[in-house]
Amino acid sequence: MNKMRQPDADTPRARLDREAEALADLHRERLAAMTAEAVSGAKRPRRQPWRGWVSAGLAAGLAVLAVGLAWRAEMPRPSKMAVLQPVAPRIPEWVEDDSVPVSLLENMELYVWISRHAATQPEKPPADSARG
Amino acid sequence: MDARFETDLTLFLRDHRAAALKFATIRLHDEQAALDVLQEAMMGFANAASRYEQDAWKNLFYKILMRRITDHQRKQGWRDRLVRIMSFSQFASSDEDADGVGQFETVDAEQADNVHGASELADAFEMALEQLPSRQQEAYLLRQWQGMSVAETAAAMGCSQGSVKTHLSRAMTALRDQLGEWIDRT
Repeated sequence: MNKMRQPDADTPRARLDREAEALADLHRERLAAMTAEAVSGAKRPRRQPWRGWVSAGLAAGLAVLAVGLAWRAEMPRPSKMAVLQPVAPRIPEWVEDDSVPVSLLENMELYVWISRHAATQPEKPPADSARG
Repeated sequence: MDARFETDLTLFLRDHRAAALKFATIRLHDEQAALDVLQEAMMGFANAASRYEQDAWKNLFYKILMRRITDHQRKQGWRDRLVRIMSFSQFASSDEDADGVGQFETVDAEQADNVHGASELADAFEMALEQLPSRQQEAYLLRQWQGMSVAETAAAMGCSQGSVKTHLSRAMTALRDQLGEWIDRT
């Protein structure tokens, strides 16, 4: 059997192809039935309808978030000064003092001065106001 | 989507079933067993195909087919052992088993009848292929006949590319010894 003669231009692949076709012809009906059965029983590619809804929901959520952030960015921000609570002027002790003359307490300039110098809290009112 | 998948699947199976049947027949030496195994492989493939790209279908199909062939051979091996052990039992005399033996005898008879009609080379080629060890058969049929790449063959056979090359080289050497340079024709 060694080193057999080369009978024709046939190739191993072509020969196998021909033999396969001949074999398939013998069992044509069964092969067709097998194919039909396999295809009819095949699992179809899964449809995932929730995917569309999830994508749409995510997109809508992102859009709402973006609009909210943009709206917030455009809103005028309250200044720091406005946020600070007004400091209630402390009433100087000398106001409560009976020794301070009533005329001084009724002098409007005194209150203007107090409002201007609330933080400094002078011990005594200005001398000229006391005199006036 | 469904209709297209069904069409693609049908066309694929129609294109490959003849070669796959020949492949299984060479591996199992039994046409009826090859048909049964091919049917299982087709159904397994059809169930798995939707999870793969169409480019990978051929590889997947042969992988499943070879797994089914191996399963069949294992079952057959166990059955043969049982028959041998319980030679007096019903297994040995069952109709089913008798059918199996009959098939082999029928195939042999058919082969004997066809000897005169078929060319000497065709018989020699078939015989040489059947005598190869199973892994060498697989490597030769997938690589040389089905035209798969070394990587695809390795993936289908579940082994390394180096093993594919080794199996193929041994197969080609054995076939060349029996068939001469003809086996190298492409």
